[in-house]
Amino acid sequence: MPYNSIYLRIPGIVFLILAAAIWLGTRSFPSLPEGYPGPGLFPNALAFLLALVGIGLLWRPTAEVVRATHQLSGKGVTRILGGLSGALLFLLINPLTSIGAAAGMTCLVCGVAMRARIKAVLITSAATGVMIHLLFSGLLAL
Amino acid sequence: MAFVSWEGVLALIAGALYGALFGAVPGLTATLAVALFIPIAFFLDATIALPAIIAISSVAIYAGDVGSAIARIPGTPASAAYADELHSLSRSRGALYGLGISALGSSFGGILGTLVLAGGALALATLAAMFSSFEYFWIAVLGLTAGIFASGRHLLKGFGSLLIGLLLSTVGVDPTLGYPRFHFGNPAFLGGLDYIAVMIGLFGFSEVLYHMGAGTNSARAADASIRREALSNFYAGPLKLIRKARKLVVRSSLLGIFVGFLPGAGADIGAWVACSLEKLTAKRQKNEERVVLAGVSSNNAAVASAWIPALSLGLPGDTVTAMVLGVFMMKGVTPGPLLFQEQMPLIWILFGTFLIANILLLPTVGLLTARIAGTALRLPFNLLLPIIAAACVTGAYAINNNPLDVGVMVLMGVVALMLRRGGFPLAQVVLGMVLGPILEQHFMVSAIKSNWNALSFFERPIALILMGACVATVILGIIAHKRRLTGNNEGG
Repeated sequence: MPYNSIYLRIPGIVFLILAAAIWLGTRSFPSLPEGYPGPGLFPNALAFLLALVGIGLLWRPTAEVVRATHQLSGKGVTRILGGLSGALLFLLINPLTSIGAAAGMTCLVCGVAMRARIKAVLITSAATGVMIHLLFSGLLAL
Repeated sequence: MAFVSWEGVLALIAGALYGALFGAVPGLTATLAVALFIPIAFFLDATIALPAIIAISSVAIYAGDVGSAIARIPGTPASAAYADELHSLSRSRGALYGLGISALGSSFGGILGTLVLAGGALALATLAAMFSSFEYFWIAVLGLTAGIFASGRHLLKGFGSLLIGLLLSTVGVDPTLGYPRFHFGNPAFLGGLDYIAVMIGLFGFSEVLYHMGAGTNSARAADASIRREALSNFYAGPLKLIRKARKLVVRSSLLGIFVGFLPGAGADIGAWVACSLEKLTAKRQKNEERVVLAGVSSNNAAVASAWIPALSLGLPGDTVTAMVLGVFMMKGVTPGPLLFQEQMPLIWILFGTFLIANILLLPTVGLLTARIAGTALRLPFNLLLPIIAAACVTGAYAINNNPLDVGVMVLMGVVALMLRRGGFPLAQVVLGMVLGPILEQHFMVSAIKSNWNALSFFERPIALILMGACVATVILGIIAHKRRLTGNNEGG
């Protein structure tokens, strides 16, 4: 995506939305006796400051984003999604099998997402799974 | 009393080798190495876990120079400050010579930092014993203020990161009434977000996603000539240089100690400050050796001094100490003056392991790391990243056997990736998370104690001094920030 002014203003908008959400979320919080502020004081103060930062970022957006990640390609997004799937797969598989096997599957999915050679990925995933199993299920008795 | 047990020594050596691997591989940082080790540290006794963490952070910061020397790829952000100079020096005088300066310079900086740590932490802890909730409130404000100005070029983004960290710290029951906040109806969040899962997400998993997005496949091939160099190149030459430039080593180490002491700053900024100062004040045009020496002595001195506020006040000096504080909290150990009364053996172990790491480990493991660097640099990234991803999910899960922690870790990894892409610093998020509860709790206690009289925050002498320090930090921070911007503009 090109670096135009709208793109640079996204952080400012996100900060403002976050501030509004916190403010709405704290409206039901109780106060201390005699009307002194209670649990909502700190989050509300943060919401106010987040809104100020949001306005500041909208007013003067800065473009010092890391050059290497200047533009995220479609392939890059796919690889990231692959990484996320690998991590979430751990949650699905872990209840059914051992922690080592689940970690090995995460490794396998991430390796495939990184387009590494399949033979190398299989060996690496198996070795990682065994190591994690030995460490966490064996040594640390998890 | 023995400084370190045999198990501790073994942990020290294993930690050093593990840190050396992470530091030598470009893209893997000392923080990542510690983040992945934290779930294991959680199951270990503190007397074993602490030496390992110290060895990991000290050696990984040094090992970050290996990539710079051989292939001009800084292994850690702390090495980036002098990567060009170190690479150029390694090409002209040999990689072992450049890495010798790095290892021995780091060692001297680390020893000085440890000596200041031993004296400074004890003195600060004695002073902190006199603190009430008012002083702790101002300390937290001071930490947050310093954290904003340590965030680099864009203070607003640093402030934004800090606010996100503070916001994350509000999840769970509040310290005044015990009222549940932002728990989304899930009782697991009542105790707050799991600190370690958040750390692994912020620094571990986000690193994996970052490199996956960038498509980093492998580091450039290493120069094999390192294996043919004479051993004296690693020790004799650098020692001669350090003796000749001892004032520079001391000055840079003191700078590193000061920067490391500031919450949220750490070794990265320490190296940049020392290198910039050396470049600005250099009499000769070509002073690569001195720039490298300034950077390495400063960054390892900062590694040690970051522990001063962490131990005596509970304020993290850098991301590594922030994670260690998280482990302390989860193990029920409270940093601060009481730590020095109740856990003195642990403190001596910490000082002892820092000295051993800097006197023995860096010169020996340093040479070993340099020798095996070629192999480490050839590790294919597309196989390394999946292993790290697996370690991240396992680590997050293993802390509480709770799948929710893995979800938190993944979410924080995505948030960290977006923050990083937007140019927001991550260290400030951690700082906010650590200081948030301290700030809120001591503010509320002080306010209720004084019946909401705002003037009570300015009545006690130490509180006034700390408030003055906050004002001074803001003024000095603004001046330094303006100078930095002017310098950058003049430099193009």
